[in-house]
Amino acid sequence: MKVNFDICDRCATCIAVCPVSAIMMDIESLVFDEELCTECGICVISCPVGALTAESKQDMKRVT
Amino acid sequence: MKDTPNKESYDIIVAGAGLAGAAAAWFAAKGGVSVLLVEREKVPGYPTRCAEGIYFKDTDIEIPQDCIAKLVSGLVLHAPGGEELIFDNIGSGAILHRTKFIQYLVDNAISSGAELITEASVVAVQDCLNHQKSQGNTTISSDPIEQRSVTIKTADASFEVKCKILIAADGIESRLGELAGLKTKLSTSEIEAAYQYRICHPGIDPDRLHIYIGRDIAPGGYAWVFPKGDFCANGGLAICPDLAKGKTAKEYCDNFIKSKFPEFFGCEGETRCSIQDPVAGGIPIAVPERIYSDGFMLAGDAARMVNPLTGAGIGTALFSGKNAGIIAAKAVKAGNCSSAYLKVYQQKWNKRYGSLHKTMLILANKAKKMSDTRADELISMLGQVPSEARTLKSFFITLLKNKPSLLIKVTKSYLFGS
Repeated sequence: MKVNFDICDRCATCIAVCPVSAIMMDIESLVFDEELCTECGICVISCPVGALTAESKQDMKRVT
Repeated sequence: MKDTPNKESYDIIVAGAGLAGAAAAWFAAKGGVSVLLVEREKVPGYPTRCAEGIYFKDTDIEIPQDCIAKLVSGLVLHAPGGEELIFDNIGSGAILHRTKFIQYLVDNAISSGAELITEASVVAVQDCLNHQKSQGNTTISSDPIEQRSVTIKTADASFEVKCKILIAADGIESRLGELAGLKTKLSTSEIEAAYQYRICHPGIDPDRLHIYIGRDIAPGGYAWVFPKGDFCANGGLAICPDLAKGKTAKEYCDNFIKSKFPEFFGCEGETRCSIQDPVAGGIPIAVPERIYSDGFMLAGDAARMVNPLTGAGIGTALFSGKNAGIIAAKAVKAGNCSSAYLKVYQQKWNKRYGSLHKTMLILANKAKKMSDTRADELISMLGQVPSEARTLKSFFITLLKNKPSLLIKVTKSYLFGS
């Protein structure tokens, strides 16, 4: 999962809906547990500002 | 503000210094036990992810005058087709200065003896000492835990702190309930995605709440303009993500403001005209299940204590925080923090809000499915009822029963609350 931190408002709606508890709110930012994330996309459609986009897992590993 | 606890052990730890958490810390400290209040943000109460409305019959803690932005005298419901229905019998309510009110609650908690740490989060909770309870077993343990160990994380450190009771009031994103074995997960149909601006314009109705419904305006939710005085208002909306057709709450909100208030645009430079302070947020649309366990209590949004139809959560947060604090302090003093003792908290909630919120959830699900044509019809029919008999209860009963004839019989003033 990719987060656009320029528009993320840290409202944590994504954390509340993640069915596998793969998202954590750090003091400064959102952290995704890539091992747990199933790319179901529920957080993407729930985000009030559209700050999340799904990427393939391989892409994610490359980014991080 | 400090970010390190003074002690290694407290009677009660409260996660989250919002309305529920600050109230819980205040009333627990007042009950004569040691309390640590843990807040993630630098200053409690920021940002205000909230439309700030409250009905006075829902307030279990008296709200100081300087925390009230505007008393509200009525409500205007805008139908999808444009018809306006005025309700002047909605009971007394107000729009708050919520941040200021949270600071008032936190100040009271501190002066009652609670310790506050900020920029810190409770990230984990473990049982410790004689705990024998098996996973998922909801029966009362004969050998209840005596303490819980709580992990608190700051930007550069992590602490283990012990407590007898953890009160989780850390908002919609709370995972502490799950970690303590309770069910708090939400599906996309159990959440509303919200977006709001502070809007200021001389044309804002200074006295009434304005609610706008319609599939194109706010699918599965509603838009609001709540006056805050000085020609400013909280203007925003909440949508059901499942019905949003790929658009975000922010996009719906921007469209709403552009279409309903075109005069807001191009007025920059004029005095008293602005659109500022955007905030995003999630609203839980569910009813709380079990809200306590051995040495553990949930309060506020973390417990899903929000009116499922209106999204109102301030009154319920105050009720749950106050009662959680009082009961937790009594449990500590009685030397019994087991679920058997804390059960009274659930009973209090069920008695006051249990059946109301279940009814509101049924209404909310009906409202979500209602077509714009049907909403226009209902509002038009209700418009024929004399204004003194026109209440929101009558609107909701019509919605629930689908029988407009019932309207005539309903005369009591009633709003969202109990």
